Amino acid sequence: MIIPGLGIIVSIITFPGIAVHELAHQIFCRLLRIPVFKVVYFRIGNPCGYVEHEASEDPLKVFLISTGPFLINTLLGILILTPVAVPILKFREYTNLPNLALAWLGFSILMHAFPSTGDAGNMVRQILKNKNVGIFPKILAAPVIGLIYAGAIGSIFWLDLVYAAAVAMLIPNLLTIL
Amino acid sequence: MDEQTIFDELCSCEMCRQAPADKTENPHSRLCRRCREQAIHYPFPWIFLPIALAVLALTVFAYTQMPKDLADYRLYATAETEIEHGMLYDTLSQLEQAAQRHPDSTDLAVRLVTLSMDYGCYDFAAYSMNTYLTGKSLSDTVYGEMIHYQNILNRYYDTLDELQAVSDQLGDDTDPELAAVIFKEKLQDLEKDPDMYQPLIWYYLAQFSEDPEEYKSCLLRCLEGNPMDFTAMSDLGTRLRRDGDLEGARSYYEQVLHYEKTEALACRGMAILSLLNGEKEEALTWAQTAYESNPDAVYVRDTYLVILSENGKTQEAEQIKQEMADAGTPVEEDTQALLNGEITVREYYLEEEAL
Repeated sequence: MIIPGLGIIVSIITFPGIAVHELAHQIFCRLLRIPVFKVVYFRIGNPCGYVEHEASEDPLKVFLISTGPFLINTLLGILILTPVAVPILKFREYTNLPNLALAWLGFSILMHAFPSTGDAGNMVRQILKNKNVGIFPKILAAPVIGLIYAGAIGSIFWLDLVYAAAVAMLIPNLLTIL
Repeated sequence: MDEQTIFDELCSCEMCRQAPADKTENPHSRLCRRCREQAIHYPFPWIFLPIALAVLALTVFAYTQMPKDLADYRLYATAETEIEHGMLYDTLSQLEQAAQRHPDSTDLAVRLVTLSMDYGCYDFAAYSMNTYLTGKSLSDTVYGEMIHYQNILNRYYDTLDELQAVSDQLGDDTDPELAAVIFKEKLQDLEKDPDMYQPLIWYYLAQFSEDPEEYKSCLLRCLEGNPMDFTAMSDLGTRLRRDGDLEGARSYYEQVLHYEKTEALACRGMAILSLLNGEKEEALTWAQTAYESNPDAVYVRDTYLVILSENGKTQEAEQIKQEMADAGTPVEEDTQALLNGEITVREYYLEEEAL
Protein backbone atom coordinates (compact mmCIF):
# COMPACT_ATOMS: atom_id res chain seq x y z
CA MET A 1 0.00 0.00 0.00
CA ILE A 2 1.24 3.48 -0.82
CA ILE A 3 0.50 5.01 2.60
CA PRO A 4 3.24 3.90 5.04
CA GLY A 5 1.89 1.53 7.67
CA LEU A 6 -1.41 1.10 5.87
CA GLY A 7 -0.45 -2.45 4.87
CA ILE A 8 -0.10 -3.44 8.52
CA ILE A 9 -3.40 -1.78 9.40
CA VAL A 10 -5.16 -3.58 6.54
CA SER A 11 -3.56 -6.84 7.63
CA ILE A 12 -4.80 -6.34 11.19
CA ILE A 13 -8.32 -5.53 9.97
CA THR A 14 -8.36 -8.50 7.63
CA PHE A 15 -6.50 -10.95 9.89
CA PRO A 16 -9.02 -13.79 9.38
CA GLY A 17 -8.04 -13.83 5.72
CA ILE A 18 -4.37 -14.24 6.62
CA ALA A 19 -5.20 -17.09 9.02
CA VAL A 20 -7.25 -18.84 6.32
CA HIS A 21 -4.43 -18.26 3.80
CA GLU A 22 -1.93 -20.01 6.08
CA LEU A 23 -4.46 -22.68 6.93
CA ALA A 24 -4.86 -23.36 3.21
CA HIS A 25 -1.10 -23.88 2.85
CA GLN A 26 -1.23 -26.26 5.80
CA ILE A 27 -4.22 -28.18 4.40
CA PHE A 28 -2.47 -28.65 1.07
CA CYS A 29 0.71 -29.77 2.84
CA ARG A 30 -1.30 -32.39 4.70
CA LEU A 31 -3.16 -33.53 1.58
CA LEU A 32 0.13 -33.83 -0.35
CA ARG A 33 2.02 -35.40 2.59
CA ILE A 34 4.52 -32.59 3.05
CA PRO A 35 5.82 -32.25 6.64
CA VAL A 36 5.07 -28.93 8.30
CA PHE A 37 7.55 -27.55 10.84
CA LYS A 38 5.85 -24.39 11.97
CA VAL A 39 2.69 -22.40 11.25
CA VAL A 40 2.11 -18.78 12.20
CA TYR A 41 -1.50 -17.96 11.41
CA PHE A 42 -1.19 -14.28 12.19
CA ARG A 43 1.26 -11.87 13.69
CA ILE A 44 1.96 -8.18 13.45
CA GLY A 45 5.03 -8.12 11.27
CA ASN A 46 6.31 -9.02 7.88
CA PRO A 47 5.22 -11.57 6.83
CA CYS A 48 1.95 -11.47 8.76
CA GLY A 49 1.74 -15.26 8.62
CA TYR A 50 3.71 -18.14 7.25
CA VAL A 51 4.02 -21.91 7.04
CA GLU A 52 7.44 -23.56 7.28
CA HIS A 53 7.34 -26.85 5.46
CA GLU A 54 9.66 -29.33 3.83
CA ALA A 55 10.82 -28.48 0.34
CA SER A 56 9.58 -30.80 -2.36
CA GLU A 57 11.12 -32.07 -5.56
CA ASP A 58 7.68 -32.57 -7.08
CA PRO A 59 6.76 -29.40 -9.03
CA LEU A 60 3.04 -30.20 -8.89
CA LYS A 61 3.14 -30.35 -5.08
CA VAL A 62 5.07 -27.09 -4.89
CA PHE A 63 2.61 -25.48 -7.28
CA LEU A 64 -0.45 -26.72 -5.37
CA ILE A 65 0.90 -25.74 -1.97
CA SER A 66 1.83 -22.27 -3.21
CA THR A 67 -1.46 -21.59 -5.00
CA GLY A 68 -3.69 -23.51 -2.58
CA PRO A 69 -4.75 -20.35 -0.71
CA PHE A 70 -6.01 -18.86 -3.96
CA LEU A 71 -8.41 -21.80 -4.36
CA ILE A 72 -9.44 -22.17 -0.72
CA ASN A 73 -9.72 -18.46 0.10
CA THR A 74 -11.68 -17.82 -3.08
CA LEU A 75 -14.12 -20.70 -2.53
CA LEU A 76 -14.57 -19.97 1.17
CA GLY A 77 -14.89 -16.23 0.52
CA ILE A 78 -17.57 -16.84 -2.13
CA LEU A 79 -19.39 -19.25 0.16
CA ILE A 80 -19.48 -16.76 3.02
CA LEU A 81 -20.06 -13.58 1.01
CA THR A 82 -22.64 -14.79 -1.50
CA PRO A 83 -25.69 -14.72 0.81
CA VAL A 84 -24.85 -11.26 2.17
CA ALA A 85 -23.53 -9.70 -1.04
CA VAL A 86 -26.92 -8.36 -2.14
CA PRO A 87 -27.99 -6.72 1.14
CA ILE A 88 -24.52 -5.35 1.91
CA LEU A 89 -23.02 -4.50 -1.48
CA LYS A 90 -26.12 -3.72 -3.54
CA PHE A 91 -28.70 -2.49 -1.05
CA ARG A 92 -26.05 -1.06 1.29
CA GLU A 93 -27.82 -2.17 4.45
CA TYR A 94 -25.34 -1.73 7.25
CA THR A 95 -27.53 -2.36 10.27
CA ASN A 96 -27.71 -6.17 10.25
CA LEU A 97 -24.77 -7.19 12.47
CA PRO A 98 -24.57 -10.90 11.53
CA ASN A 99 -24.56 -9.90 7.85
CA LEU A 100 -21.87 -7.31 8.50
CA ALA A 101 -19.78 -9.89 10.34
CA LEU A 102 -20.05 -12.32 7.44
CA ALA A 103 -19.25 -9.58 4.93
CA TRP A 104 -16.13 -8.57 6.88
CA LEU A 105 -15.04 -12.19 7.17
CA GLY A 106 -15.73 -12.93 3.49
CA PHE A 107 -13.96 -9.82 2.30
CA SER A 108 -10.97 -10.49 4.55
CA ILE A 109 -10.68 -14.01 3.21
CA LEU A 110 -11.02 -12.95 -0.43
CA MET A 111 -8.51 -10.13 -0.02
CA HIS A 112 -5.88 -12.67 1.01
CA ALA A 113 -6.62 -15.14 -1.77
CA PHE A 114 -3.68 -14.05 -3.88
CA PRO A 115 -0.50 -16.06 -3.20
CA SER A 116 2.18 -13.89 -1.60
CA THR A 117 5.53 -12.98 -3.10
CA GLY A 118 6.94 -15.48 -0.60
CA ASP A 119 4.83 -18.17 -2.24
CA ALA A 120 6.07 -17.03 -5.64
CA GLY A 121 9.64 -17.15 -4.31
CA ASN A 122 9.12 -20.77 -3.27
CA MET A 123 7.91 -21.62 -6.76
CA VAL A 124 10.92 -19.86 -8.31
CA ARG A 125 13.36 -21.80 -6.08
CA GLN A 126 11.68 -25.17 -6.19
CA ILE A 127 10.43 -25.19 -9.79
CA LEU A 128 12.17 -22.63 -12.02
CA LYS A 129 15.64 -22.94 -10.49
CA ASN A 130 15.43 -26.65 -9.75
CA LYS A 131 17.61 -28.56 -12.22
CA ASN A 132 15.67 -31.76 -11.56
CA VAL A 133 12.42 -30.24 -12.83
CA GLY A 134 11.70 -30.61 -16.55
CA ILE A 135 11.12 -27.75 -18.95
CA PHE A 136 7.39 -28.42 -19.34
CA PRO A 137 6.45 -27.77 -15.66
CA LYS A 138 8.69 -24.71 -15.75
CA ILE A 139 6.84 -23.33 -18.80
CA LEU A 140 3.51 -23.94 -17.07
CA ALA A 141 4.59 -22.43 -13.76
CA ALA A 142 6.31 -19.33 -15.15
CA PRO A 143 3.16 -17.37 -16.14
CA VAL A 144 1.52 -18.22 -12.82
CA ILE A 145 4.56 -16.90 -10.97
CA GLY A 146 4.38 -13.78 -13.15
CA LEU A 147 0.72 -13.37 -12.25
CA ILE A 148 1.48 -13.72 -8.57
CA TYR A 149 4.08 -10.94 -8.77
CA ALA A 150 1.65 -8.84 -10.83
CA GLY A 151 -0.98 -9.41 -8.15
CA ALA A 152 1.49 -8.30 -5.48
CA ILE A 153 2.13 -5.08 -7.42
CA GLY A 154 -1.63 -4.72 -8.03
CA SER A 155 -2.33 -4.92 -4.31
CA ILE A 156 -0.66 -1.49 -4.06
CA PHE A 157 -3.63 -0.28 -6.08
CA TRP A 158 -6.13 -2.29 -4.02
CA LEU A 159 -6.37 -5.07 -6.60
CA ASP A 160 -7.05 -7.50 -3.77
CA LEU A 161 -10.05 -5.41 -2.70
CA VAL A 162 -11.29 -5.13 -6.30
CA TYR A 163 -10.92 -8.88 -6.66
CA ALA A 164 -12.89 -9.42 -3.45
CA ALA A 165 -15.72 -7.13 -4.58
CA ALA A 166 -15.90 -8.69 -8.04
CA VAL A 167 -15.91 -12.25 -6.73
CA ALA A 168 -18.45 -11.37 -4.03
CA MET A 169 -21.05 -10.36 -6.61
CA LEU A 170 -20.18 -13.16 -9.03
CA ILE A 171 -22.84 -15.65 -7.93
CA PRO A 172 -25.65 -13.09 -7.28
CA ASN A 173 -24.99 -11.54 -10.70
CA LEU A 174 -24.98 -14.93 -12.41
CA LEU A 175 -28.18 -15.95 -10.66
CA THR A 176 -29.80 -12.66 -11.64
CA ILE A 177 -28.91 -13.14 -15.29
CA LEU A 178 -30.19 -16.74 -15.38
CA MET B 1 32.99 -44.87 7.73
CA ASP B 2 33.90 -43.99 11.32
CA GLU B 3 31.72 -44.63 14.35
CA GLN B 4 30.63 -40.98 14.64
CA THR B 5 29.50 -40.85 11.03
CA ILE B 6 27.51 -44.06 11.46
CA PHE B 7 25.97 -42.64 14.63
CA ASP B 8 25.08 -39.37 12.90
CA GLU B 9 23.53 -41.30 10.03
CA LEU B 10 21.47 -43.45 12.37
CA CYS B 11 20.31 -40.43 14.36
CA SER B 12 19.92 -38.01 11.47
CA CYS B 13 16.28 -37.06 12.21
CA GLU B 14 16.41 -33.34 12.95
CA MET B 15 13.44 -33.53 15.29
CA CYS B 16 14.06 -36.51 17.58
CA ARG B 17 17.77 -37.27 16.91
CA GLN B 18 16.93 -40.88 17.67
CA ALA B 19 16.25 -42.38 14.23
CA PRO B 20 17.54 -42.14 10.71
CA ALA B 21 15.93 -39.76 8.24
CA ASP B 22 13.26 -41.43 6.10
CA LYS B 23 14.02 -40.62 2.46
CA THR B 24 11.40 -42.84 0.84
CA GLU B 25 9.03 -39.95 0.07
CA ASN B 26 11.60 -37.20 -0.32
CA PRO B 27 15.33 -37.73 -0.96
CA HIS B 28 16.08 -34.52 0.95
CA SER B 29 14.02 -35.50 4.00
CA ARG B 30 15.62 -34.68 7.36
CA LEU B 31 12.96 -36.44 9.47
CA CYS B 32 12.53 -40.01 10.56
CA ARG B 33 9.36 -41.88 9.60
CA ARG B 34 7.59 -41.19 12.92
CA CYS B 35 8.53 -37.50 13.08
CA ARG B 36 7.69 -37.14 9.42
CA GLU B 37 4.17 -38.48 10.02
CA GLN B 38 3.88 -36.18 13.02
CA ALA B 39 4.92 -33.17 10.93
CA ILE B 40 2.61 -34.10 8.09
CA HIS B 41 -0.21 -34.14 10.65
CA TYR B 42 0.84 -30.83 12.18
CA PRO B 43 -2.20 -30.02 14.34
CA PHE B 44 -4.84 -27.47 13.42
CA PRO B 45 -5.54 -25.16 16.37
CA TRP B 46 -8.66 -26.30 18.29
CA ILE B 47 -9.93 -22.69 18.42
CA PHE B 48 -10.62 -22.89 14.69
CA LEU B 49 -13.38 -25.45 15.26
CA PRO B 50 -15.83 -23.32 17.32
CA ILE B 51 -15.08 -20.33 15.08
CA ALA B 52 -15.82 -22.43 12.00
CA LEU B 53 -19.05 -23.70 13.57
CA ALA B 54 -20.17 -20.18 14.44
CA VAL B 55 -19.40 -18.96 10.92
CA LEU B 56 -21.19 -21.96 9.48
CA ALA B 57 -24.30 -21.24 11.55
CA LEU B 58 -24.31 -17.59 10.50
CA THR B 59 -23.74 -18.52 6.87
CA VAL B 60 -26.50 -21.14 6.83
CA PHE B 61 -28.91 -18.61 8.32
CA ALA B 62 -27.85 -16.03 5.73
CA TYR B 63 -28.48 -18.56 2.95
CA THR B 64 -32.06 -19.03 4.18
CA GLN B 65 -32.61 -15.30 3.56
CA MET B 66 -30.86 -15.34 0.22
CA PRO B 67 -33.70 -16.31 -2.16
CA LYS B 68 -35.77 -13.26 -1.17
CA ASP B 69 -32.76 -10.95 -1.35
CA LEU B 70 -31.85 -12.34 -4.74
CA ALA B 71 -35.41 -11.91 -6.05
CA ASP B 72 -35.41 -8.33 -4.76
CA TYR B 73 -32.06 -7.66 -6.41
CA ARG B 74 -33.22 -9.21 -9.67
CA LEU B 75 -36.22 -6.89 -9.59
CA TYR B 76 -34.03 -3.92 -8.65
CA ALA B 77 -31.63 -4.66 -11.50
CA THR B 78 -34.26 -5.40 -14.15
CA ALA B 79 -37.04 -3.00 -13.17
CA GLU B 80 -36.72 -0.84 -16.28
CA THR B 81 -36.75 -3.88 -18.57
CA GLU B 82 -39.85 -5.19 -16.83
CA ILE B 83 -41.54 -1.82 -17.27
CA GLU B 84 -40.57 -1.79 -20.95
CA HIS B 85 -42.38 -5.13 -21.16
CA GLY B 86 -45.62 -3.57 -19.94
CA MET B 87 -45.32 -4.39 -16.25
CA LEU B 88 -45.17 -0.90 -14.75
CA TYR B 89 -47.70 -1.26 -11.93
CA ASP B 90 -46.58 -4.77 -11.02
CA THR B 91 -42.92 -3.76 -11.02
CA LEU B 92 -43.49 -0.69 -8.83
CA SER B 93 -45.64 -2.71 -6.47
CA GLN B 94 -43.01 -5.44 -6.13
CA LEU B 95 -40.26 -2.87 -5.76
CA GLU B 96 -42.25 -1.28 -2.96
CA GLN B 97 -42.52 -4.67 -1.24
CA ALA B 98 -38.75 -5.04 -1.62
CA ALA B 99 -38.30 -1.59 -0.05
CA GLN B 100 -40.48 -2.78 2.84
CA ARG B 101 -38.20 -5.79 3.32
CA HIS B 102 -35.10 -3.58 3.14
CA PRO B 103 -36.13 -0.39 4.95
CA ASP B 104 -32.50 0.66 5.44
CA SER B 105 -31.66 0.49 1.77
CA THR B 106 -31.51 4.01 0.39
CA ASP B 107 -30.66 2.69 -3.07
CA LEU B 108 -33.90 0.70 -3.28
CA ALA B 109 -35.98 3.64 -2.10
CA VAL B 110 -34.26 5.99 -4.54
CA ARG B 111 -34.89 3.56 -7.39
CA LEU B 112 -38.54 3.25 -6.41
CA VAL B 113 -39.00 7.03 -6.32
CA THR B 114 -37.04 7.57 -9.55
CA LEU B 115 -39.02 4.98 -11.52
CA SER B 116 -42.33 6.22 -10.12
CA MET B 117 -41.47 9.76 -11.20
CA ASP B 118 -40.05 8.78 -14.58
CA TYR B 119 -43.20 6.85 -15.43
CA GLY B 120 -45.61 9.47 -14.17
CA CYS B 121 -46.85 7.67 -11.04
CA TYR B 122 -46.68 10.76 -8.85
CA ASP B 123 -48.88 9.56 -6.01
CA PHE B 124 -46.78 6.45 -5.68
CA ALA B 125 -43.58 8.52 -5.85
CA ALA B 126 -44.79 10.88 -3.12
CA TYR B 127 -45.80 7.96 -0.91
CA SER B 128 -42.46 6.20 -1.48
CA MET B 129 -40.49 9.35 -0.81
CA ASN B 130 -42.31 9.99 2.48
CA THR B 131 -42.21 6.37 3.60
CA TYR B 132 -38.74 5.22 2.59
CA LEU B 133 -36.55 8.28 2.13
CA THR B 134 -37.47 10.55 5.01
CA GLY B 135 -34.50 10.97 7.36
CA LYS B 136 -32.06 9.06 5.15
CA SER B 137 -28.70 10.55 4.22
CA LEU B 138 -28.10 10.83 0.48
CA SER B 139 -25.15 11.67 -1.72
CA ASP B 140 -25.11 15.19 -3.18
CA THR B 141 -26.08 13.94 -6.64
CA VAL B 142 -28.97 11.80 -5.43
CA TYR B 143 -30.08 14.54 -3.05
CA GLY B 144 -30.20 16.95 -6.01
CA GLU B 145 -32.32 14.51 -8.01
CA MET B 146 -34.72 13.94 -5.13
CA ILE B 147 -35.09 17.69 -4.56
CA HIS B 148 -35.89 18.04 -8.26
CA TYR B 149 -38.59 15.37 -7.95
CA GLN B 150 -39.89 16.93 -4.76
CA ASN B 151 -40.27 20.28 -6.54
CA ILE B 152 -42.31 18.61 -9.29
CA LEU B 153 -44.47 16.86 -6.69
CA ASN B 154 -44.96 20.08 -4.75
CA ARG B 155 -46.12 21.86 -7.90
CA TYR B 156 -48.37 18.92 -8.77
CA TYR B 157 -50.05 18.80 -5.37
CA ASP B 158 -50.24 22.60 -5.06
CA THR B 159 -52.12 22.63 -8.37
CA LEU B 160 -54.45 19.88 -7.20
CA ASP B 161 -55.05 21.81 -3.96
CA GLU B 162 -55.92 24.97 -5.91
CA LEU B 163 -58.43 23.05 -8.02
CA GLN B 164 -59.85 21.32 -4.97
CA ALA B 165 -60.31 24.72 -3.29
CA VAL B 166 -62.34 25.94 -6.29
CA SER B 167 -64.40 22.78 -6.24
CA ASP B 168 -65.07 23.18 -2.50
CA GLN B 169 -66.13 26.81 -2.97
CA LEU B 170 -68.58 25.90 -5.71
CA GLY B 171 -70.37 23.19 -3.76
CA ASP B 172 -72.76 20.60 -5.16
CA ASP B 173 -75.70 22.87 -5.95
CA THR B 174 -73.87 25.21 -8.37
CA ASP B 175 -75.15 25.27 -11.95
CA PRO B 176 -72.81 22.94 -13.92
CA GLU B 177 -72.37 25.45 -16.75
CA LEU B 178 -71.45 28.21 -14.32
CA ALA B 179 -69.12 25.81 -12.47
CA ALA B 180 -67.42 24.96 -15.76
CA VAL B 181 -66.89 28.65 -16.55
CA ILE B 182 -65.45 29.38 -13.10
CA PHE B 183 -63.23 26.31 -13.28
CA LYS B 184 -61.95 27.22 -16.71
CA GLU B 185 -61.18 30.79 -15.60
CA LYS B 186 -59.28 29.44 -12.62
CA LEU B 187 -57.35 27.05 -14.85
CA GLN B 188 -56.47 29.88 -17.22
CA ASP B 189 -55.16 31.90 -14.25
CA LEU B 190 -53.16 28.96 -12.97
CA GLU B 191 -51.73 28.38 -16.42
CA LYS B 192 -49.89 31.70 -16.11
CA ASP B 193 -48.39 30.73 -12.75
CA PRO B 194 -44.98 29.04 -13.22
CA ASP B 195 -45.25 27.49 -9.76
CA MET B 196 -48.20 25.39 -10.87
CA TYR B 197 -47.89 22.01 -12.57
CA GLN B 198 -48.71 22.87 -16.17
CA PRO B 199 -49.46 19.37 -17.55
CA LEU B 200 -52.24 18.96 -14.98
CA ILE B 201 -53.70 22.36 -15.89
CA TRP B 202 -53.66 21.45 -19.59
CA TYR B 203 -55.31 18.15 -18.82
CA TYR B 204 -58.17 19.88 -16.99
CA LEU B 205 -58.41 22.59 -19.63
CA ALA B 206 -58.98 19.77 -22.13
CA GLN B 207 -61.83 18.45 -19.98
CA PHE B 208 -63.53 21.85 -20.06
CA SER B 209 -63.00 22.54 -23.76
CA GLU B 210 -66.00 22.20 -26.06
CA ASP B 211 -64.14 22.16 -29.35
CA PRO B 212 -62.60 18.74 -30.26
CA GLU B 213 -59.54 20.39 -31.80
CA GLU B 214 -58.97 22.47 -28.68
CA TYR B 215 -59.47 19.32 -26.61
CA LYS B 216 -56.77 17.51 -28.57
CA SER B 217 -54.46 20.51 -28.50
CA CYS B 218 -54.77 20.78 -24.69
CA LEU B 219 -54.05 17.09 -24.24
CA LEU B 220 -51.01 17.37 -26.50
CA ARG B 221 -49.77 20.30 -24.38
CA CYS B 222 -50.32 18.13 -21.32
CA LEU B 223 -48.27 15.33 -22.87
CA GLU B 224 -45.49 17.75 -23.80
CA GLY B 225 -45.03 18.45 -20.08
CA ASN B 226 -45.62 14.89 -18.92
CA PRO B 227 -45.16 12.31 -21.69
CA MET B 228 -46.08 9.57 -19.22
CA ASP B 229 -49.60 10.78 -18.46
CA PHE B 230 -51.43 7.59 -19.35
CA THR B 231 -54.87 9.11 -18.78
CA ALA B 232 -54.14 11.96 -21.20
CA MET B 233 -52.79 9.48 -23.76
CA SER B 234 -55.86 7.26 -23.44
CA ASP B 235 -58.19 10.28 -23.65
CA LEU B 236 -56.40 11.45 -26.77
CA GLY B 237 -56.75 7.96 -28.25
CA THR B 238 -60.46 7.99 -27.46
CA ARG B 239 -60.85 11.42 -29.07
CA LEU B 240 -59.13 10.19 -32.24
CA ARG B 241 -61.31 7.08 -32.27
CA ARG B 242 -64.44 9.24 -32.06
CA ASP B 243 -63.09 11.22 -35.00
CA GLY B 244 -62.71 8.01 -36.96
CA ASP B 245 -58.89 7.96 -36.83
CA LEU B 246 -58.67 4.39 -35.57
CA GLU B 247 -54.96 3.95 -36.31
CA GLY B 248 -54.14 7.21 -34.52
CA ALA B 249 -56.18 6.03 -31.56
CA ARG B 250 -54.43 2.66 -31.58
CA SER B 251 -50.98 4.28 -31.53
CA TYR B 252 -51.82 6.20 -28.33
CA TYR B 253 -53.31 3.15 -26.65
CA GLU B 254 -50.28 1.11 -27.63
CA GLN B 255 -47.96 3.72 -26.15
CA VAL B 256 -49.71 3.25 -22.81
CA LEU B 257 -49.82 -0.53 -23.11
CA HIS B 258 -46.12 -0.59 -23.90
CA TYR B 259 -45.49 0.38 -20.26
CA GLU B 260 -48.58 -1.10 -18.60
CA LYS B 261 -50.35 -3.83 -20.45
CA THR B 262 -53.30 -3.88 -18.06
CA GLU B 263 -53.97 -0.11 -18.00
CA ALA B 264 -57.77 -0.02 -17.90
CA LEU B 265 -58.48 2.98 -20.16
CA ALA B 266 -56.07 1.86 -22.86
CA CYS B 267 -57.38 -1.73 -22.71
CA ARG B 268 -60.93 -0.42 -22.98
CA GLY B 269 -59.85 1.64 -26.01
CA MET B 270 -58.26 -1.40 -27.63
CA ALA B 271 -61.41 -3.42 -26.91
CA ILE B 272 -63.52 -0.87 -28.78
CA LEU B 273 -61.08 -0.78 -31.71
CA SER B 274 -61.17 -4.59 -31.93
CA LEU B 275 -64.96 -4.53 -31.81
CA LEU B 276 -65.08 -1.94 -34.59
CA ASN B 277 -62.82 -4.22 -36.64
CA GLY B 278 -65.23 -7.10 -36.07
CA GLU B 279 -62.79 -9.00 -33.83
CA LYS B 280 -65.27 -9.72 -31.06
CA GLU B 281 -63.26 -12.33 -29.17
CA GLU B 282 -60.17 -10.14 -29.06
CA ALA B 283 -62.40 -7.27 -27.97
CA LEU B 284 -63.68 -9.40 -25.11
CA THR B 285 -60.14 -10.21 -23.95
CA TRP B 286 -59.23 -6.51 -23.88
CA ALA B 287 -62.49 -5.54 -22.15
CA GLN B 288 -62.03 -8.26 -19.56
CA THR B 289 -58.45 -7.11 -18.87
CA ALA B 290 -59.68 -3.54 -18.44
CA TYR B 291 -62.45 -4.69 -16.10
CA GLU B 292 -60.11 -6.85 -14.01
CA SER B 293 -57.53 -4.08 -13.86
CA ASN B 294 -59.84 -1.26 -12.78
CA PRO B 295 -63.62 -1.78 -13.06
CA ASP B 296 -64.27 1.72 -11.75
CA ALA B 297 -62.33 3.47 -14.53
CA VAL B 298 -64.42 5.62 -16.87
CA TYR B 299 -66.82 3.53 -19.00
CA VAL B 300 -64.90 0.29 -18.36
CA ARG B 301 -68.03 -1.51 -17.10
CA ASP B 302 -70.15 -0.12 -19.98
CA THR B 303 -67.66 -1.33 -22.55
CA TYR B 304 -67.39 -4.74 -20.90
CA LEU B 305 -71.19 -4.98 -20.87
CA VAL B 306 -71.47 -4.07 -24.56
CA ILE B 307 -68.76 -6.50 -25.60
CA LEU B 308 -70.15 -9.33 -23.48
CA SER B 309 -73.51 -8.78 -25.23
CA GLU B 310 -71.85 -8.67 -28.64
CA ASN B 311 -70.23 -12.03 -27.84
CA GLY B 312 -73.59 -13.49 -26.81
CA LYS B 313 -72.63 -13.79 -23.14
CA THR B 314 -75.96 -12.56 -21.87
CA GLN B 315 -75.70 -14.02 -18.39
CA GLU B 316 -72.36 -12.32 -17.68
CA ALA B 317 -73.70 -9.14 -19.28
CA GLU B 318 -76.66 -9.19 -16.91
CA GLN B 319 -74.29 -9.54 -13.96
CA ILE B 320 -72.35 -6.45 -15.05
CA LYS B 321 -75.61 -4.58 -15.57
CA GLN B 322 -76.66 -5.44 -12.05
CA GLU B 323 -73.23 -4.42 -10.74
CA MET B 324 -73.61 -1.04 -12.44
CA ALA B 325 -77.05 -0.56 -10.93
CA ASP B 326 -75.71 -1.49 -7.48
CA ALA B 327 -72.89 1.01 -7.91
CA GLY B 328 -75.41 3.76 -8.65
CA THR B 329 -74.36 4.13 -12.30
CA PRO B 330 -77.13 2.40 -14.27
CA VAL B 331 -76.84 1.73 -17.98
CA GLU B 332 -77.13 4.94 -20.01
CA GLU B 333 -79.84 5.42 -22.61
CA ASP B 334 -77.73 5.07 -25.74
CA THR B 335 -75.93 2.04 -24.28
CA GLN B 336 -79.33 0.46 -23.73
CA ALA B 337 -80.25 1.40 -27.31
CA LEU B 338 -77.14 -0.44 -28.53
CA LEU B 339 -77.96 -3.46 -26.38
CA ASN B 340 -81.50 -3.43 -27.81
CA GLY B 341 -80.11 -3.33 -31.35
CA GLU B 342 -81.58 0.10 -32.04
CA ILE B 343 -78.17 1.53 -33.02
CA THR B 344 -75.05 -0.12 -34.43
CA VAL B 345 -71.64 -0.42 -32.82
CA ARG B 346 -70.20 2.05 -35.36
CA GLU B 347 -72.97 4.54 -34.62
CA TYR B 348 -72.38 4.08 -30.92
CA TYR B 349 -68.59 4.43 -30.93
CA LEU B 350 -67.85 6.64 -33.93
CA GLU B 351 -70.47 9.34 -33.51
CA GLU B 352 -69.42 12.76 -32.29
CA GLU B 353 -71.24 12.12 -29.03
CA ALA B 354 -69.89 8.63 -28.63
CA LEU B 355 -68.76 7.54 -25.17
